[in-house]
Amino acid sequence: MSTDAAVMQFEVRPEPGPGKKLLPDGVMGMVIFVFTEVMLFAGLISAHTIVRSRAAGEMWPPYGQPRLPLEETAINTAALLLSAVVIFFAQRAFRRGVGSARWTFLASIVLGIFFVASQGMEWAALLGEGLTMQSSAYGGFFYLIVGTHALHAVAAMLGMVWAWLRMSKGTLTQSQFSTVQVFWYFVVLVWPVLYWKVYL
Amino acid sequence: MWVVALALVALALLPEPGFACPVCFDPNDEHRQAFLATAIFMTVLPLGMVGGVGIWLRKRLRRLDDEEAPPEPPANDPS
Repeated sequence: MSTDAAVMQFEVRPEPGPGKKLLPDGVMGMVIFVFTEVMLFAGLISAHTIVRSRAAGEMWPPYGQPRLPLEETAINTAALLLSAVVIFFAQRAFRRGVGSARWTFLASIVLGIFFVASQGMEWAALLGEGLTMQSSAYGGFFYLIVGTHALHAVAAMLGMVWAWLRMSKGTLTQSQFSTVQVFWYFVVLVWPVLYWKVYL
Repeated sequence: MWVVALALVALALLPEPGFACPVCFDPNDEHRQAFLATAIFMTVLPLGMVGGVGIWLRKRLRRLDDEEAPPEPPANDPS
């Protein structure tokens, strides 16, 4: 057996260089933050599931409580999902340096504002019909879960408006756009789960 | 004698925390299933998220390595 044959050949993978980053810092930070937010919503959904299961054999929503507007919220959900699609194309256009990115991004923000405003009007109507935090566990969970999501949506809107203003001035970086985009995707993607668990 | 007394005390006290477990002893089947489902959900979700991102980062690292690797010379290149 020759010496060469006895020596095993290894391909040594070089260590990543000091300047090499898998993700920009902002995006990585946002991903970690989104993890914690996912767990927050998971806890809320779990609590809701358990409380609802206690009402097995009884009415849910409880007797005397108004029904949630499924159809109107379905339209809002569609607007929210469309917003995520639009921001995807805005990001692609922004990466290629296309000027239309600004208007595509604005369209995404407008769809998000439509969602938040529609949800606000829905809340006002439900409050008028007697569904409050104190009226039942049903009302308490509805306002807690949907309200927490609404807070996130408003925060994301503020971030997107900030990013859009920077984009208009030409000072927005790709990393900043991606950071805002990750948070918006979280807000959009968690909503269908909430709709399914709370509304249906 | 004291062993018997200790066993009796243990028998008297230990079932209480056992029955406090709603997953094990809830007569409402749907309620028990909800506890089990949410326990599984809350266990699997963080592991899935961390695992998913880990796999994605690993794939991304490999792709970046492949992009940065110098092109291999042709097989019939005399140099």
